[in-house]
Amino acid sequence: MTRRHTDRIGAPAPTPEPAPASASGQPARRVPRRAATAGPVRLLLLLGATLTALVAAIAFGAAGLPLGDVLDALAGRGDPSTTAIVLQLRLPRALLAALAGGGLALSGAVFQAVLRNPLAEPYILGVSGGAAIGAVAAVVLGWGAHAPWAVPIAAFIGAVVSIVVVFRIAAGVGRRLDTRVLLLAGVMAGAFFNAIILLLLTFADVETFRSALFWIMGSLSGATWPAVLILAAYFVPAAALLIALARPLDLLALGEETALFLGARVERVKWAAFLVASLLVGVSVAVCGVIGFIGLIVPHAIRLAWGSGHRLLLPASVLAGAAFLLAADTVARTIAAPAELPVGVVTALVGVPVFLLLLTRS
Amino acid sequence: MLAERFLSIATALAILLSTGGCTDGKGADRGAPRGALAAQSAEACVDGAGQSCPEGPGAVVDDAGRTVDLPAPARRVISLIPATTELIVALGVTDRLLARTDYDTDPALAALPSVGQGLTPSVEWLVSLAPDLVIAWPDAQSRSVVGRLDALGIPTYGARIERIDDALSTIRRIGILLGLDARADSLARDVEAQLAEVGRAVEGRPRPSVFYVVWFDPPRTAGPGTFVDDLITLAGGTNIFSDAPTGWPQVGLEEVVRRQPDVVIVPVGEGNGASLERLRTTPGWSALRAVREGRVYEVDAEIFNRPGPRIGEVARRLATLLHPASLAGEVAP
Repeated sequence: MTRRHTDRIGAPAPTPEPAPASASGQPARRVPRRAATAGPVRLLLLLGATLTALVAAIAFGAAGLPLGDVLDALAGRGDPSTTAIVLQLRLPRALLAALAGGGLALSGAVFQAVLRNPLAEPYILGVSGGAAIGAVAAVVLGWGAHAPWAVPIAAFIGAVVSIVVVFRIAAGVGRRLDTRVLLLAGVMAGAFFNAIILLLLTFADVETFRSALFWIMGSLSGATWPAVLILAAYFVPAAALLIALARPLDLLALGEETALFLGARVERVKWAAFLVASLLVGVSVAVCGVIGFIGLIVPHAIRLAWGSGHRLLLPASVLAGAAFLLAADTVARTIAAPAELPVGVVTALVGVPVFLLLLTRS
Repeated sequence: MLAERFLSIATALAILLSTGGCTDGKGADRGAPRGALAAQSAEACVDGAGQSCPEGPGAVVDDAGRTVDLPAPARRVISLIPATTELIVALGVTDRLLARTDYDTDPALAALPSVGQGLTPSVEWLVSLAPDLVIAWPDAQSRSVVGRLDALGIPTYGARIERIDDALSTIRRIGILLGLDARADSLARDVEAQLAEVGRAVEGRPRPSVFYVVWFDPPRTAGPGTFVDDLITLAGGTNIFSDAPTGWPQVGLEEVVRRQPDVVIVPVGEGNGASLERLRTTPGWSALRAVREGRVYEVDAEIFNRPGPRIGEVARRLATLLHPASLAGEVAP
């Protein structure tokens, strides 16, 4: 790997030279002028890919329904079993995949920007471990048997507790929020939670174990309309807010001092970005477990292809993440039908070679 | 990564789950009493075929405490648990099964499509088969499968077969749902008679201590509250890990050596890496007196690890292994 490659993937620091500020206080954009038109075109392309993946996810499945039947079911006609498959199983699952994939890729891109660490991924602040402990605790205490929502809610609470603990640690060290401390605290909390899970599981019965496994491996098989609505209700404002932070994130990529100099309210941006992105991860973990690789691979792939300006990167990550998880889940549902593969297996098996190809081509 | 650690342990457990799969017997969330059978339509359905039962087969309470009440005897059945699949075959209605798992290796089922290892079946595929009864483990993951099917109006029965008594009551309850009350009752009586015969044959004999190798590496065995523990006791042995904290504990080889079992039972197959040869050549295992003196017995995991209708047969075979000299003539092999 050449130095140039390392630079590109070491991504969020886009330009080695300090960006000269123009008279109006606007920093020079890293993306050249032609990007002004290229950006929307690229987003439209990705939107097309996402919609294609969405249609494929609804059209294909283990049941092998003819396309006409699927269309009939969407229109509310057709026999009850086909209608149930399309409207109650495939459609909510496809939408959940799109929302979760988009949310994970977006929060991955944000974490990488704010932590200025190319290895940052959505679960780096210990969210996955916290969620798994919450879920396991709910199962051990027998809540899950009575209320179907008890386990996801417990997983979400676990994720939030982990976020709070990590931020308390980071906030307690020094006057400003030090991202290195935050990163360390996240990794430490993650390691600690994982140890607790392994300890619990050593003495756990098989049922608890399987529940925990479900959370650790991630799956969209539990997709229901309420789950879709809950994720969407948080996703829409969170994504809007994070994408609105694109310019301050561009500035942050230049270094906190420079960003401060150029007028970014660094502390506020960091806190807002972290909290909103962490909660987005927490909600997605609560409804579909920990699905790996998307938050790491998708933003990097877009940086490699189109550069690291956040105005394009953030919305592009949402669309590409949605398309990628939709496609991966469609493969997971159909390739070994009637069994299902864990979707994380597909995201890694397909994502890693594609990513390496992009990396060596660039 | 944590996920990798999980996967390695999960491989072992997946096998365990799909074959005998049990928990530690707490059963805390079980609302209704065990084996609560509704006998209302039993008399009406004695012909066993179910055709003369216009009002449905009668409600039963499954192991998750849910009441399963079918409008008619189940004719299109999907069993995701090998033990209940065997039961349906034993009741003579193999033709009602729509699918199998990879663990159902019975040649009579070979033509059926397999849902894989039964852990993550495709819900939409199950729905597309239009079953009128799905039998699955009522745990958190299956619960998502079971919950989905329930919401779509497909009746499900959660079977969590932990002990011998559960296996017997499962025979009767599934029988009711199939409209085969009388046939299931007579099958259950046969199994009970087999178990009782074994119990009588070993009565008053010295009880050898037994180590049952559920999994070879890392060693995992059957603890208290499991049908394996029940069967060892019934067959005139003592499970050396009947004091374990959980149902299917992982145990230290050192502890096995310290407890020096008189007999080692090795279920072979279904991914369990154990065999007589490996025990002889692996340090630690080879230090067991039972291994050195040739009291290690290989058995078929597909039969021994399943709490299905063959537990009577398993009890007999265990008894002849534990009391070889004295029992040869008394319990038919």
